[in-house]
Amino acid sequence: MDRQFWLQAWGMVSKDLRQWRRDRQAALAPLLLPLVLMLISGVLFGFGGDAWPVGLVVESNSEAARQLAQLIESSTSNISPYFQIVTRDAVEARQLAEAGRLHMVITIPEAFADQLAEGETAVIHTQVFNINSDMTKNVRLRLDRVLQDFLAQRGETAVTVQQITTRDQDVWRKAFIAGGAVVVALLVGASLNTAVMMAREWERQTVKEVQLAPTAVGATVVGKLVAGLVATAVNVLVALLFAVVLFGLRVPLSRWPVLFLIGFGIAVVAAGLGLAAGAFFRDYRVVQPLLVVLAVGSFFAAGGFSSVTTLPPLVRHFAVFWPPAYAFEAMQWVMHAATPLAWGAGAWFMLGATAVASVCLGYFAVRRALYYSSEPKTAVNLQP
Amino acid sequence: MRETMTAVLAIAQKDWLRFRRQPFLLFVSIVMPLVFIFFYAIIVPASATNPVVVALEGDGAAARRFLQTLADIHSQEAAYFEIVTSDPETARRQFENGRAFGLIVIPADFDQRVAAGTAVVELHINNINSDYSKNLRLRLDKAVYHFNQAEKGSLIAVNETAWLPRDPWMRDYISTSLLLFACLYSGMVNTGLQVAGEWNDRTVKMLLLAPVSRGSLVAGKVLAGLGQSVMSLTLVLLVLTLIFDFSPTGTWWAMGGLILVVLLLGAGLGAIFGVASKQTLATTSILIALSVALFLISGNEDSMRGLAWDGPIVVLWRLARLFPTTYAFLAARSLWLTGETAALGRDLGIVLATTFVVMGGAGWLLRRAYSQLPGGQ
Repeated sequence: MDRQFWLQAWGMVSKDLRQWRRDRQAALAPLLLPLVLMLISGVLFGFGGDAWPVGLVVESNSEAARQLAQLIESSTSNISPYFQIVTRDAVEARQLAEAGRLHMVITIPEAFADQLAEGETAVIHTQVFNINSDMTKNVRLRLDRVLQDFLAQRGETAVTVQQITTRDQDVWRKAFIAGGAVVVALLVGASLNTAVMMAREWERQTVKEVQLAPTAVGATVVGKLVAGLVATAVNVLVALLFAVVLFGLRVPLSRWPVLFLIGFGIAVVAAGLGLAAGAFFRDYRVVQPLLVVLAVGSFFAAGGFSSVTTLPPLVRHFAVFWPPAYAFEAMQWVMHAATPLAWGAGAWFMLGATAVASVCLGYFAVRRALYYSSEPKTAVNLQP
Repeated sequence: MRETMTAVLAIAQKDWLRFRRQPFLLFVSIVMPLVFIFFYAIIVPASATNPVVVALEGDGAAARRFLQTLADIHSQEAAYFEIVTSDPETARRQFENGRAFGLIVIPADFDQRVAAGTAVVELHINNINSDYSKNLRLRLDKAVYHFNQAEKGSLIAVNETAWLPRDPWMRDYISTSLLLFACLYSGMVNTGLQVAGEWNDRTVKMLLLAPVSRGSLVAGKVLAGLGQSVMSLTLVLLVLTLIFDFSPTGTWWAMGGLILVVLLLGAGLGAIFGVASKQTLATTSILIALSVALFLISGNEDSMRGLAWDGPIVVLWRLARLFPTTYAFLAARSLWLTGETAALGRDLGIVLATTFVVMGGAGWLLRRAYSQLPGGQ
């Protein structure tokens, strides 16, 4: 590789980064997608901790009723209380539940303590807004937990639970989701930016200049990969900023070097594939939705939203054959796990080999697209 | 009138031909919503069943009964636990190497301690996601509660009054949202792209030179977008019905009527974005992002409603209440899922009024844009 090669590659980097900066519509998708996912999913599914708003109506002044009410108020998960008492007024609670503003109202009736004292089955009443089985199950399970604790306090249980966790504190779901969105920024940033930079040569009809340039393929590939990776770095930094500031993502300092190395390897893999996709489709209107939907889908079904290990069997089997799952799993583990990932030589070799294979695929796709076909695959042709 | 209809059909046919010949349009219109639905739908069971490994170290009758309780407890929809293994060595190894995030240990002295009333089961959690940690703990507590009731008798009972006689399954709840998402997505993206495509591909001048009214152009574009949407929507409905076992309640007429209105609403929104952007890439990006955002925000209003008492979710919920699309999702739930029609009139009224306004606005913007061509066209 002579000086001309590097000058040409640098020229490509410079040109593509300038176009990337100017073409806001193309640059915005990989930038905004992880932020939108983070904001909507994080707020919708993970911001409030485990607290569930309920109404609590205590109709009895007995000690047992007070004890149960106290347990409902104080019962906590690892990160927050299980219940947030919104109202204690029976009429207001009923109206709120009927309007769907509360998913459950718990009523401890006057006879509760007497039934307990007389050895009868003590009955408590609930009113639920059962809009779907998942939410209703969640609030019912919280009540069962309180009842179990109540009976344990009274010595009426044969079995209790002892919980042991690998970390001192749970990682909040919003931080986990934010970590997943950062990986989305990495994957979609590297693949989409590079793909668009490649497809743009056909879109803007500048491909002829690239074809006519000496040592075009190698310099084009290197230039576009570097430009794509620089744009990716910007996407990831913005996503990281949001994740840390708004969603409480905390990664120990000692893990940043290994996180960076894994992230860089994954970015090269994604950029190589993006290059191939851009050269194959030659139309960023195809490339963009394809990569965006695959990224969003992977976020939900391959470890961004919830670890693959915790997903149903079908998804776990699917994830074995779905490469983004490895990216999500590896990076989420390094970010959050109690002990850092012990990456052996084999894992690094696999990542390196995949990166090389991906860049080679990109190279051959670009070469084929530049010299064996120059027509956009999606050319408008209305002739019968 | 006949000439107008001929012109409208000719424009629609031209766009359908273009649609058929451009892989980009076929892909965006048909494949994209199916891919999104596939990914989203396969994670729905995740909330119903949690995988866990069990180290069954006790071999007594009580230990086996407890294991059976773990396997048996279930919601209306599915089992609470998927017990991946109950072999102690395998379970501990899988937990230690990160292949399982939850390990339940039933100790060797479980039977003796149950008899003494002091048995303890250990729950080991790799707690890198508070949601999974909470789910595991609550489910194990449920199992323990059941087991204790079986051992000691039922000391407390819950008398529940529910809004609906049966909890709608989460799968059906999500399928309702996904079908509405497909309507909005198809209407918006197909029409938006057909509108923006004329400017993007520089064919708008030919369109305007044709001796037809501007109204025919607008109607032709909307018809073209709706025609494409019917195809992608049929596929989505087939996937939801055949693969995800979606069986909506209510009549087909009610279902078809709401689908048509939401398609029109989507078509109007798509036309507005298409004419504002005049670029297919920008239109695609914005409309795909918008449809996913509407799916997540409008499609979850009734879930958020009971949780929105403080924090950012209040903002999201209030936003959802402002979006007219939310009322389409609520109407769909009434018609296809719950059968509860108390607010159906209000919801349908809002959707119909919004559709009318949006279609009117889209028509006006298109007429204006077709009359004021920018330079270079």
